[in-house]
Amino acid sequence: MSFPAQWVTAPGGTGDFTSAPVAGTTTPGTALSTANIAHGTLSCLFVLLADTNTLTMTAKFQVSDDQTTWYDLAGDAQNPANVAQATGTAGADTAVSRVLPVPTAAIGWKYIRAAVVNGVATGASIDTYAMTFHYRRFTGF
Amino acid sequence: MPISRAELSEEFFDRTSAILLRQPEPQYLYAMLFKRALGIALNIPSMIGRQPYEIGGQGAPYSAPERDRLMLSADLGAELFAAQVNFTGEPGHTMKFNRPRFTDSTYTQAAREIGVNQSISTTPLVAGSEQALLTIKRFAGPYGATSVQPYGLDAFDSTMGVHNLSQFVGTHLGRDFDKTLDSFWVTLADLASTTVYPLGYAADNDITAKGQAPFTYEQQSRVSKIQDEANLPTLGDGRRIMVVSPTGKKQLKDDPQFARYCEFHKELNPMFPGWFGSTAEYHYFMSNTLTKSSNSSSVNIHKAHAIAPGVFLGGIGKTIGVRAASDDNYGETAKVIWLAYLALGLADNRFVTKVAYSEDV
Repeated sequence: MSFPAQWVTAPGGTGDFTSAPVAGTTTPGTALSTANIAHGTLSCLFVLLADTNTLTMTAKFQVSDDQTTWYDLAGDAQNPANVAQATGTAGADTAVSRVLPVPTAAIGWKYIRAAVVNGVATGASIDTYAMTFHYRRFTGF
Repeated sequence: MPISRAELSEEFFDRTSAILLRQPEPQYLYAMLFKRALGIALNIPSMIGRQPYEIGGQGAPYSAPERDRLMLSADLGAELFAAQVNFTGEPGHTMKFNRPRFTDSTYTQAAREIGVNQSISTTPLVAGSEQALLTIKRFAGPYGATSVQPYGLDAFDSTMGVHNLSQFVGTHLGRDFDKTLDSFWVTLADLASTTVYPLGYAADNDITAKGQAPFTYEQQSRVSKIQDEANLPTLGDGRRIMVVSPTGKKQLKDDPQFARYCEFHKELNPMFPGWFGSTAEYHYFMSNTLTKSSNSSSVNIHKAHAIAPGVFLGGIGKTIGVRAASDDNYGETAKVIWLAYLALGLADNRFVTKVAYSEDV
C-alpha cells in the first residue's frame, strides 16, 4: 500500500465505432505504463454505450512489453470468458458504467491498455466508449 | 444625509505610496551564470535618452530588478563554460574550436602484430578533428508583439511621477535582458543529445496523467551511469551539475528509494534544512525557468539538465548597454532599448542530458 496516498487518474482512451468494426473486433484504448503503480490498486472505469441494435460491447485488458505486440489478459488461470457489459436495443440506449479491477499480475508487464470488443453486429458512430484508469502511485511505504 | 465622500467627492483624493511592493520573479539562474562567467552587466544609466536631453526623473527610487527575485539556488559555477571569448577588436564573426575526433579501428594483438618478413603499409591514414562554432550576434530588447521595440519616457511627465521613472525604465530593461539571456541558455541546454525518462517511459507522450512519472533517485542514478559511460568530465570532486525545477525537488523528497537512503543521514534527510545540495553524483541547483511543456495528454513535462563541465561557449563583443533612439521629439521623449553583442553556444551537446518528469497531481 502507498502512503501518503497519491491517487492517479489516467486516460484509458475514448472514441466510437465510426470505423465500423465487424463483430469480434478489438478496439484498443491508450497504453498505460505500469511503472509506479501500487500493487493491487489498478482498476479501470468503462463507460460503454451500445446503441446499435443487438450490438454488444465487452471490456477487456491487454498487456505488452513493447507497445507493439499486445496480449489479452485473462482474469485468472481458468481463462474465463469476458462478459458483455452493454447491449444495444431497438430504441435509445444509455451508457453503462462499470469499474473493473485489473488482474494484479498485469504490473509484471511494462504496459497495459483497456480495450472494447464489439459482438453480434457491426459497430457505428453511435456506439461509444470511454475508459479511465485509477490507481495509487507506488511510494514504497 | 451625512457629509461623506459620496456626497462631497471634491474634498477627497487617493494617493500612490512610494513603497514598491514585491513582484515575485525567478532567479534566472543561467543568465546570472553567463553574466558572471563573462563579467558582463547591463549598466542602466541614471538618466536615459540622447545627450544633451537625457531624462532623469525624480521621486522615490524604483527598485533594481534583482530585488524581487526568489534566490532558490546557489549560483552555477563558471566551469560550465569551456571557453569565454572577447570578440572586441578582433576580426571575424565566428570563433571555431577544434576537438579531436578519434577513429576506431582494430585493436587485437593478431591485427597489430608485425610478423616475420611482413611489410608495413606505407599508405598514410587520415586523423580527424571536429569543430564547435561560436558566432557573435547582435541582440536587443524589449520585444513587442512581433519585433524589438523601445520603452519610451516623456520628459514632461517624468518629473511628476511618484517614482523615479528613468529607474522604472531601467528596471524593466534589466529584467528583460536577464530573462532573455536565461531563455537563450535554457533553449541551448535543451539541445541535449539524450533525454532520460522515469523508468517505464520513453517519450513525453507516454506519460498520460499528472503525477504518473515523478523524478526519482533511480532516474538520477541512470543519468549518472549514462554520463559516466559517455566518459563525460566531472568537477574536481567527481560530481556533475543537476539543475531541476522545484517540482523535481519535491518529487525527489517523496521518492521512497531516496527516503531509504537518507533515513539516517541528517545532511540528506529532507526533514532538515539544506538537504537539497548534493548526492554522490550531482550538485543540485534549482531553477523556475526550465522548460515545461504540455504533452498530448495535457500533462506538463519538466525538463531538467544534467550537465558536465565545459558544456557552454560564451562570448561578448563591444556593446552591452542601453541605447536611445534619435527619434526623440526634440528631446522630449526618450526611447530606449538594451543592445548587446553576444555569442552563445554549446561546446558539445553530449555534455548535457535532459531529465524528464511529469508535473505533480
